[in-house]
Amino acid sequence: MALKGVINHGVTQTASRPSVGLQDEVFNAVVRIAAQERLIGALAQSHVSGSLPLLPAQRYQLRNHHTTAQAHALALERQLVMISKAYEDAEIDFRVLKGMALAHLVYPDPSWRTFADVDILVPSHQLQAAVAIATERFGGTQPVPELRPGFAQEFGKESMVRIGRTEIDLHRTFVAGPFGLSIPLDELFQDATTIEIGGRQMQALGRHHLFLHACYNVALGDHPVRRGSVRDLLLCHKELDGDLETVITIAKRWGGIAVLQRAGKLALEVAGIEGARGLEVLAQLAVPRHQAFLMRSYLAPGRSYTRQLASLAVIPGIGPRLRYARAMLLPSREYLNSRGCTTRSHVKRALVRLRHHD
Amino acid sequence: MTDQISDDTIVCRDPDTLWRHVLDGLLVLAPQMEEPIEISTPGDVVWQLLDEPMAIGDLVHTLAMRFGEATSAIQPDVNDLLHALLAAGAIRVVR
Repeated sequence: MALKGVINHGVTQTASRPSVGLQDEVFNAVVRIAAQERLIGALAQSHVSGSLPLLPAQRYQLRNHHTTAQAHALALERQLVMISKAYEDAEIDFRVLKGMALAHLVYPDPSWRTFADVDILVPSHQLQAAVAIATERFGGTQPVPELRPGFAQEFGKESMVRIGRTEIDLHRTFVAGPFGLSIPLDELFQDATTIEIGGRQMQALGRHHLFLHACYNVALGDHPVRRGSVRDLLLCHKELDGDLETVITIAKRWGGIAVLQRAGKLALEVAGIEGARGLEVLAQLAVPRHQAFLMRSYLAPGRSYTRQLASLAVIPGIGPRLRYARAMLLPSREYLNSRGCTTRSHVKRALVRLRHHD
Repeated sequence: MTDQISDDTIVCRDPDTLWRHVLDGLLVLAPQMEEPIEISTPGDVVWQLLDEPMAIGDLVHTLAMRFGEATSAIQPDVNDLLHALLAAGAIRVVR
């Protein structure tokens, strides 16, 4: 109950009624879950607004969690400012993604949204250049190389670069697997919303794409769904002044109706009818059969492998399909070494996971 | 520079400085700082007021009115905070 109130705080029209306070055991569990689910900021917001009265020791504990999270957020924003300058100089078109963008766009104060890394979307043809700048200019490293040379630029979801203590996720698309591969990526750069961080103006996705990305995160991100992602979606719906008809039209073109339907359904489950009001339209969408098949690949126990297999169904052309399959079956030695695998153990593990797939 | 401020000195936030609210004030991270500094309530009000350039004398007067204190009572604390923020590069002298 306490967490549902936190997720819906500032979303529902009815004023939040102050709770009577939480016993220590309950509060400790709430904080633990909030930290895992990126809701520490929302917890702090609820307390500051008077919706969540706390005992002094509880407040102190929350204060420490929130201050640590905000210090990390500042370090990440500093990293974003530095890398954004380099990308602008190199004429790399980019969009700030996820928590860093949403904190400044749909949250009443950026301090009420915590995040763990820097997420940036770059065009596919500029991904290698973006990675090179992050590694060569900023001393970044790639703990996990791409599956095979060229895979990230053609099929990948993202390339991760670690710069000191910060993680920079350079995204090519919203999600791995077939639903990420079927997004016409050029569309994501046709529109933008401006945000300001550290005195610099930067671009985030356009409002309808922001909402869609929030849906993709809820539907296909963490499994089970992260409550913080649901809160993002609720606030996007409330604050972005988009219209669901346009969002649904875009999703139809992307082959992503199943994604919207699942996002709406999960939002209702987590936030309830009151919190997710308006999103029942998405939950009621009729999902085409082939999209339902693709969606199952994301939900199966061996989903990291089943969605790779399902990706073959959406990749156009024999050449790209062969390249994709080859990368899956025969990753590079550098990739295998980073995972502590051999080709044989890599294939064996995949077969075991697929065999246990429902 | 930090020794030369007076009531007529106009200061404002450094636009490249990042900051966020925390439960008991603010965290501020200026470009040359390694780690953020925390400005506790009610010092965070100074930060809010310096969103636009403001003469130090006007700043002290506004704070005195807001908190119902004499300007002479709060001036030393405000000066200390401003010196610290100037040294950190989080605020700068406009003129």
